[in-house]
Amino acid sequence: MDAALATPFIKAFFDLLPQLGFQQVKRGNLRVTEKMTASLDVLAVVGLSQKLRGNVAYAMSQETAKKFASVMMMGMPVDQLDEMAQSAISEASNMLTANAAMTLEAQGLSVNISPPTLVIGQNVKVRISSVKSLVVEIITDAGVVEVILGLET
Amino acid sequence: MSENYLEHFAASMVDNLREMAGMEAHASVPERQETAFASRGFAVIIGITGKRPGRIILDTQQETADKLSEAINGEKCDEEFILDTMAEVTNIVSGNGITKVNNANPGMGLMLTPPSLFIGNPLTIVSPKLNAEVVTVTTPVGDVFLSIGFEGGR
Repeated sequence: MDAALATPFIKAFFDLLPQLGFQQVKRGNLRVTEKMTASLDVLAVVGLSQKLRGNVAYAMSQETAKKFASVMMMGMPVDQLDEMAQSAISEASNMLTANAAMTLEAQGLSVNISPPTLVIGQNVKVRISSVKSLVVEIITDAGVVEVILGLET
Repeated sequence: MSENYLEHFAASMVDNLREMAGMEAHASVPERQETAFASRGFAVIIGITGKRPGRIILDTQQETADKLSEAINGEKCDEEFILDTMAEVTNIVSGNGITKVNNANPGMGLMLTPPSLFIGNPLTIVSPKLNAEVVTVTTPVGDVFLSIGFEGGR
């Protein structure tokens, strides 16, 4: 995939996370993965259709997911990834992808997004695209979020 | 969307297994699905965009995915080939199903996103805010679960 397509998805973190109460947002490493890759244990996956087709998955550890949900819920303690915490992670992935979709739209790439699906497990392996995917690390105060992008125009 | 849309997907699954794998399968009556879905370990997810966004999940055991892929391709398959085969089966079934839903509901404009695949043990799949139903498709090599969920109810 064209690496430039990742930019709107990275920008979305810098646009949105401070508004949600996060203090730290930094870009970490970037890597290209083969089709199937080992993943962190909590993933929120959103599909894209129209001029840009593919999937974006936001992957994080259970610990990061709990901290992320806690920040989303105004600092409320989150000891378990329960229904409310799952809903918070899901909503964050929806907001981030919608923000990226608006940036893409402004660049002439109209995109529709599907509702997020959360996948929670152990020893999770993921393939979000039939071609190679791009993984961008975003470092937040909740921990590292890996943005896995498999997009095609 | 007043008609039972899930039947379109289930019928497509049964027809395609007969055509591609030479297998006789049958689908159960659709059941309402809880928000959290305990995966059997091998899941393919396809998103739905348009006026009624949602998602489709094809879920089964790794062993069933292996045997279905072998039956469809006529030879033992490696991991990547199994993933490709199961992604394509889900694509075909979803494409057939969504076309029938669009034809029955003019103006709905539903489109599919490409498949994503997940393997894990255990694996839980959660679709907050979606109303979903699931059918069990019983095949000679194990059960395949087909779950369709849309925002805002059936």
